[in-house]
Formats: sequence, structure tokens, C-alpha cells
Amino acid sequence: MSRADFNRSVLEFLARLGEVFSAPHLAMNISIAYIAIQLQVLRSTLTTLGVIVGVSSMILIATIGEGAKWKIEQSVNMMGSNMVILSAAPDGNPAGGAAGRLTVRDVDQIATKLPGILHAAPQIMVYSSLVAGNANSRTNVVGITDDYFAITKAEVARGRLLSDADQRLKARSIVVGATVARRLFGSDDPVGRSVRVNGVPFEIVGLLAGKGKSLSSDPDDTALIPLSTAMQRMRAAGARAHDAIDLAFIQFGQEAAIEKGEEAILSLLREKYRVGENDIDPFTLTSTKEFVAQSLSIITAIQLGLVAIASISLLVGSIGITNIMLVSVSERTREIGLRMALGARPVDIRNQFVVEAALLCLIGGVLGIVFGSLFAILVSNALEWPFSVDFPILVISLVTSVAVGVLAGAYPAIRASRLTPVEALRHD
Amino acid sequence: MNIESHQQPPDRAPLLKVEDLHKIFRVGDQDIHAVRGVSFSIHAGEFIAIKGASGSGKSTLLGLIGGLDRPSDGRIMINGREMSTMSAAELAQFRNARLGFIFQQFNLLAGMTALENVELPLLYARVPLLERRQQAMAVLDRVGLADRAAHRPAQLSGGQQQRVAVARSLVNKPSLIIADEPTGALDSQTASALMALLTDLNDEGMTIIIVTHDDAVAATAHRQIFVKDGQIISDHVHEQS
Ligand SMILES: Nc1ncnc2c1ncn2[C@@H]1O[C@H](COP(=O)(O)OP(=O)(O)OP(=O)(O)O)[C@@H](O)[C@H]1O
Ligand SMILES: [Mg+2]
Repeated sequence: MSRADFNRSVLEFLARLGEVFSAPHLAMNISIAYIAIQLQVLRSTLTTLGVIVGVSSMILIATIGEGAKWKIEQSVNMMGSNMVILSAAPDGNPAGGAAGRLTVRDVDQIATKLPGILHAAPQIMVYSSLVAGNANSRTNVVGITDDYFAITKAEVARGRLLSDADQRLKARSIVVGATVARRLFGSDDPVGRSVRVNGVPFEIVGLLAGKGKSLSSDPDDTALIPLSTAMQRMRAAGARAHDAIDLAFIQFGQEAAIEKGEEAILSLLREKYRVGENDIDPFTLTSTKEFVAQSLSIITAIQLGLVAIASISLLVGSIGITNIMLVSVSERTREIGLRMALGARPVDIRNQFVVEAALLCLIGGVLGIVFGSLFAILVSNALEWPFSVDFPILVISLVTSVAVGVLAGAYPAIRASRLTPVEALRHD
Repeated sequence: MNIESHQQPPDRAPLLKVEDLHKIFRVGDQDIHAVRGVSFSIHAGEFIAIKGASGSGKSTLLGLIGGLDRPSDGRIMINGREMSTMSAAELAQFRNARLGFIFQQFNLLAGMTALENVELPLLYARVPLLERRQQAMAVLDRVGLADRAAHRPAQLSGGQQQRVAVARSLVNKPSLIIADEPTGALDSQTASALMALLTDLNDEGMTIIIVTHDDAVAATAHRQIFVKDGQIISDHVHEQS
């Protein structure tokens, strides 16, 4: 879900809320007695709208933040933990690749020479056209070794993974993801069927277990073939070396080893390719840490947007509440006078109206939690995230609502408490 | 001016003593002298009617006595305390503990039942809920409306509403009940029933001061004070048989 989509959804949500709450206007024509009561309800609901939206946003901030963090963790685990990605693209220019350099031998050297490395998985990635009968799928086909399975812990739902024999024999065996299988064969079992990859016939030996949706791409829109086969049949023309690859996953034993490992890999490759001080590296090193940091910054931006919405809503809401409480105080001046005559001290009157404003906001806060949670459930369902609302955020929401009520009600309440009993009693 | 002076028994200190009371309202650049130099005393157990033409300053005087407004000049001593020295909060507590109010327009809160309306003074006296219920129920019973406790003002007749207001004025066991035209919104039959109730209360020892236009109502009281242009022009006790 992009930020623009998200903003649009929020606006739609607000527009719909507006529709729902303007409906009681129709009641005006029904009966005069009905109006007074209905207007009170409508008025109260409208006044608390700011609080409702504010608290809804707070709930969204929390749940979306939690959900997104869970998602990032999950996608990192899906790629492989404690991992760095080495790609044959000049650093700072990932779209290029013409000048990029990376080979199977480089990866072997890294794996054998450097300490602390668990697995190194060289890969060739070719955006290909897969055709079976009339159906086709444009998909990244990845040439891989066993190490890929060790790092990603990929599993098959049906059939088998690629074997040593497939690698040795440069077999035309392919394992497809669920999305590819659906495009090519619908709900039929793809295992055993044949598919042409850029015109070369392959046999489907396995169907990957589904991984669900990710933040950006569909991880099930993929297909795996032996690296040896890919090097022989799919290597782009003009490759610099016979064992040139596009990227490699390098997994360390511990998280602590990554930083040192990154430096070691860089200096090994720079020495090998004689990269000078001022030259651009003909390869790029990305760690999952960076990926996490990048994703977290996007989430923080979304959260900040929501914080802004929440703050503005609460501010607008509190102005509305102040306004409605002033109206209420003026409508009930006689009541205030009576209560004072019967023994209410100025402080009692002040508290009465502060409590009323706080209660109004508390109701708004509860509604906000309900709407916010419903909206968060919708978002979570759409993105296949788990939904959870933490207890502390509920407490914070309610406390904030009450605080807004107290602040917004303070001025009208103080005005009410300063009335003199006689004047208030004469009011009508 | 023909002032018939009311001879006070010298052995009793008055419940209320008003000395040279003035109230001036400022409207625009005009001063309205609503009360000009009023002095009188009230003793416990009295039943006093204040009469006078419209605009003569009766309500203003009652408001000052009831501590609902502050005088421009003069003193009000009640139960030996000088009212003008009290803060707004002290005045409120004083009204709550010592005074009962009855208004022409009943002034019951529409959203509450009769019982809840009667409970209001006890609420501000911080009486716990159960006691509040019991005491309020007892005074509702006293005014003959125990069976209407759960009714809202809109479900009661004018006379019944004013009885609820009387119950409310009684519930804190005040030393003085102040009523501004309590029969003003009632028909004559209901009015005399209400006056009978107030007379009963006075017979039981309650001090009552009432403003009225109605001579029949005024005749119920033992003492009548006539006010004109913010001044007392007559004050006399008429002997009861
Ligand atoms: N808050 C006020 N501001 C200005 N003038 C006032 C105010 N309250 C009372 N007055 C004036 O003071 C005078 C006395 O008013 P008050 O209400 O005491 O009369 P009243 O004797 O109770 O009359 P009524 O029998 O009509 O109730 C009137 O001229 C009135 O206009
Ligand atoms: Mg009056």
C-alpha cells in the first residue's frame, strides 16, 4: 500500500463518517420535540468527531507501526537472517549493471577465505517469459545453488526442491512459486508439467510453499532453476566472465559478525578488481540491516503523517468542544443559578462542566478506538498482517481523550462558575 | 410615611437583621436604586409576607437576604454572621445549610425525577447516596408526593411541581425559607393548598418569608411588610385568633 493510497483511504474513511453523521438532519422535519433531543445527539457526535478521528489515528499509528515492523521482520527472515546481499551493479547505480562485476569464483573465495560465513549463495536473475500452452507469466527466474535453500529456508508445497543431480547435469528442472503456477495452470497441479522459459523447455519439479504478500513485491511470483543451467542457457550475452552472476546472498553465523564481514568482503573484492580510492565499486553490498532501516523510515513517515492527523483532529476537536460547552453553559444558565442557590459552590459548577466535557470526549475516545480498530483490521487484512492493539495504547488514547475534554471544557466551565446566582436565575 | 413599627420581643436575638440596605444597579449610564435604605429584623418562627407594586424592589431585597446577590451598601446579619464578609463559596455553603428557596417558576430540573430534584441540596451538602434518598423521600412524603417520587417535572401538575420545590427547600432543614411569589404560577385553589402547606410548616416552627402580589396569600402570613420604591412603608403584625 503506497502512501498516496493510504492517504486516499483515510480521506474516504472521513468522508464516509461525515455521511453517517449528517443523516439525523432528516429528523428535523419529523417533529419539533424530536429535534431538541436529536440535535443534542447530533451536536454531541459532531463535537466529538475530532476526538473520534484523533483517537482512530492514534490506534492506526500504533497498529500499523506494529504490523509493519512484524512484516519487515518476517520478510527479513524470509530472505534469510544475518545476511548481506552482494550484487553485480556499480555501487550507487543499481539500475546499471554494464560495468558490474561479480562471479561464482568471487563468492567461493569469500566463503572460503573469510571467517564467520555460514552460507554463500550465488544467483543469476533473468526476467523471463514463461509459457505453458496459451498461458504465460513474466517472472524473474533465478538460477540458484543449494545454499539458496539453506539461507531462505524455502520449502515446496508439492514435488521437490532442486537436487545435486539437477546442478551437476545442468538439468532443465524448474521450481515455481504459487503465483506463477496459478497464472500458467490455474488450480491444476503444476508438478510434472512442462513450461518454456524464454523458449527453452523445462520440467516443473516442485511448487514452492506460499509466502504471502510483502510490502512491495509478490514473493510468490518467482521461479528457481539450477545455477549451472542458468549459466549455460540464460546468461546475458556480453557477460564479462563465463561464471558471471547477478547477485549473491552471504549469510553470517551471528549478527555481530556482519559489520566486520562486510568490510572484509569489500576489501577482498576491491583488491581483486583493483578498485582505486576514488573509483566506484563495480559491485554493491546491501545488508538486511539497511533494508530494515529503510523500511522503518517509511513506516515512521506514515506514522508521523498519522500523528499530524491525530494532533490536528484533537486540536480541532477541542475547539469544537469548547464551543459546544459555551453553548451548553449559556443554555443552562438558569440551571446554574438554581444549583448555586441550592448550595453549589463556584468550584462545584466548574467541576460539573469539566466532567461533562471530559465525559463527552471519553465517549468520543471509545468510539475512536472502535473505528480506529475496525479500520486497522481492514488494513491488516488487506496486507495480511496480524492485527493487535496493545493495552497501553488503549489507556493512552482514553487518557488523551479525557485530557482534551478537561482542557477544552476548562474555559466554559470557569465562565459558568463566575456567574452570580441572581443573574443566572433571572436568565431565560 | 406611615410606618407601623413592629415591636420585637427584647429577650430574643433576631434570626435575621437587615441594616440600611441599599442596592443600586447600573444600566448604561443610569443608576437604578432598587433598594434604598431598608432595615428590619426577623425572628425565628415568623411568617412574613412582603407586598408591593411590580418593580418596587421585592425580589431584589429577597435576593440580598438569600445571599444570591451582594448589597451596594448596608449589612445583613444572619445567625449572628455578617453576610458581606463571606466568600462566594462560603455563601454557597451558608445557603445550602441555612436557607431554602421556592421560586415562582418552580425551577425543577427537567431531566431529573422529583426525588432527584429534592436530593440536590443534599448532594451539595455531600450527604451519602442512601441517606440522601431517605431524607428526600421523607420530605416528599411530608408534602404528600411520596407516590410521585419517580415522576419527572413534566409529568406533574403545577401544584405538584411547587410541592416538590417546597420539599426541596425543606430537605436541608433550613432556618429560613425564602419564597418569591410561590403561588404566582398557580390557580387560586392550588395556591391556597400550597399556602396551607406553608402555614403547617410555620406552625411546626419553620421561619418563612414570602413575596406576593396576592392579598389572600399575604393574609395567611402573621406579619406584612409593604415595600414601595425600594423602601419599607409599612411593617405590621396582625394578630391571629
Ligand atoms: N439586574 C438588574 N439590572 C438592572 N435593573 C434591575 C436588575 N434587577 C432588578 N432591576 C430593577 O430594580 C427594580 C426592582 O426590581 P425587582 O425585580 O426587585 O422588583 P419586584 O418588586 O420583584 O417586581 P415584580 O413584582 O414585578 O417581581 C426594577 O426597576 C428593576 O427593573
Ligand atoms: Mg419580583
